Amino acid sequence: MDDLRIEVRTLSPGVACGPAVFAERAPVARERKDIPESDRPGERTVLGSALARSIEELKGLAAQVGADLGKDKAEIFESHADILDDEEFQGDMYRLIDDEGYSAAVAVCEVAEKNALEMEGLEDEYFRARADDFRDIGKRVVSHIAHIEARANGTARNETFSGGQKRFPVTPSIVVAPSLSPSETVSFCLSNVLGFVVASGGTNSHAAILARSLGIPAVVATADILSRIECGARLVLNLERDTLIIHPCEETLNLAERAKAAERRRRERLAELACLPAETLCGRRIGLYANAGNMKDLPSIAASNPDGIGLFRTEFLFMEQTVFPTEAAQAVHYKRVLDSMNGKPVVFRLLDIGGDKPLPYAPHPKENNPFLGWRGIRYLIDNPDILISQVRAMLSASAASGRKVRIMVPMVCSPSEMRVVRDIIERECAELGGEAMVGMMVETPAAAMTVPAFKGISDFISIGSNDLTQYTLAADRENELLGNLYSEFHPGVLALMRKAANDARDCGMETGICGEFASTPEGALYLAAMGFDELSMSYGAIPAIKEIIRGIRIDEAERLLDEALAMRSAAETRKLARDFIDQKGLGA
Amino acid sequence: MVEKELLIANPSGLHTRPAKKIVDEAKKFASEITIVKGTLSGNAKNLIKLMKLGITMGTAITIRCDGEDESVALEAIEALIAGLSE
Repeated sequence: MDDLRIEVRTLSPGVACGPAVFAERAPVARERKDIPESDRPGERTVLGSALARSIEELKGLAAQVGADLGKDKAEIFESHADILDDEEFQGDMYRLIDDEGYSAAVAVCEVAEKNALEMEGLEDEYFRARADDFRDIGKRVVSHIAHIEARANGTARNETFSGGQKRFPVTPSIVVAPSLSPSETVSFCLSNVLGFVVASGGTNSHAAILARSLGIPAVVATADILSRIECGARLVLNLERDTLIIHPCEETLNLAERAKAAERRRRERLAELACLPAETLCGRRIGLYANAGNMKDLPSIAASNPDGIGLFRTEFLFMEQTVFPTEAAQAVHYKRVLDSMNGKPVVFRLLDIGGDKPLPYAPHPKENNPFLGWRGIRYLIDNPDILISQVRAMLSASAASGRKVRIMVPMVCSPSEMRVVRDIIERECAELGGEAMVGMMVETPAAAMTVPAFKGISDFISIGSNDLTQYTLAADRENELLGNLYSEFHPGVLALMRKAANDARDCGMETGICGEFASTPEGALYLAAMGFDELSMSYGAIPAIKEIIRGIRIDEAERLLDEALAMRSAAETRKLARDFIDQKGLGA
Repeated sequence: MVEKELLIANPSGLHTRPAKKIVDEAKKFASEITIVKGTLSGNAKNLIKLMKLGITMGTAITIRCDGEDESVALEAIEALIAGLSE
């Protein structure tokens, strides 16, 4: 045991220690809707074997779980097998292959989702929860389809981890992977994930954001890390800042355990803050909101007691589908989000898609620079059907729940874009009822510089700090070659945020921010100084930020911000805030 | 055609497992067997249709059988539902 130290970059903080397991990428099933007639029998055969294997697997699981944990625990697997065995359920899938030319995987998803949505429409909560059973069943069959196809193509790999099956890792472990997509990150058996080590991925990658919101420590190392760790090797993450230790000695392990205990105590201390308001020492109340998108997170978010949801990303709802969700299906989702917050404000962001994250069922033209391209409100204005149905669904949800809905428009550059959305809301409101506020996301420097031009058109602003930073510094946040160039702490970015906040306040608009910046203690300090009404962040970050807010006075934060704006680099402004926080004894 | 009204008494209603038992039983008969809940109805030989009725404890349902073995079928389904326990 030799304490081999490797320098890494922290994606999600926290100490972790445990054995390494490798996650290999699961093969991906063919997703097509244009299978020629001659190939359809082949798709039928693939579907048939995948269904048979899934049922066999479920029955095996039921028997095993029944023996290990008791008969009641096995019921879920038995009932999944029963549902999958249903003739009509299977018949619907075969019909989509025969009549529509869908590939097996798309046919399965479509039928599973259709049934899931119908279950979600039921009144009783127990039956509504069965919606996820249909989705799980669908995922299981699709993963079998993927493996069958991969074997047929000769691209099959060692099936260490097959996506969508929540059984990996089987014992508490640190997951080592080349990289992680958001859907892979959440498809692990998370109660057994002690930490993540990845070979590539930025601090602001979606997987890193997810790891932080789940409170799971994660680090990124260099590309050769996969060959330096053997399966089962003991690892210690972040005992020392930005360090991975392979084969820790006894003493290191003890230290790691002690550090974990200290973290636990700190978490307990922060938990005590949960019921207290985020109020500065001088009595300024600042709303701490949660960012959300995945329906599964809603219970945890509600439990963390935020002042509202400051950013609900509607993309998740669209990405999990194989066709555009109907207005009615959207309305059901949005109403559930509104209801989950019990009357606290919820800000829905209109569908924010572009060339870098197209929807699987809506072909997107290739663009040389998708981040500067057809995305956000630009895309929506050119696709009015999508825009109008989404606005209508939000208004229906508002009318049905009797709660006001806040609609946020992404990627705004000019008042005319906001005007389009506002006009649609006013027109549809007259028909559907409901009550809505509409606000602009400030992500482009143009929007940040011209907030007063939106007076009377935008009810609130919300800074999208991730994109505002990347556009202001002309630095791609996921480009590792740019190192620390991307930083919200650059004095230029801070100055833009302050100007937008001041101008918005002068125009009587509410001011918010919904980027990652708000979840850093140093960032929250500067944002409080700028006078933001609400900070929205991963819900996991709320307690730590609340501790900062409750430990400062606005006048001292303002003085610090003035000092920062006269500085020349992001490193300096961040350190200034860090030192201030440390001096106050706030934070870890 | 024969039919009978029943009250569902087991705590989680006709969730997946009990529904599956009804389906298995119903399939033994030639008659068309329908379960009616208010304005909704579903074929008792189809598991998913039955689940989608969302039948919870305390729900009043009507079992309707139509076919050559309708009386035996009704009796069998009725006995099964009465004997459901968690």
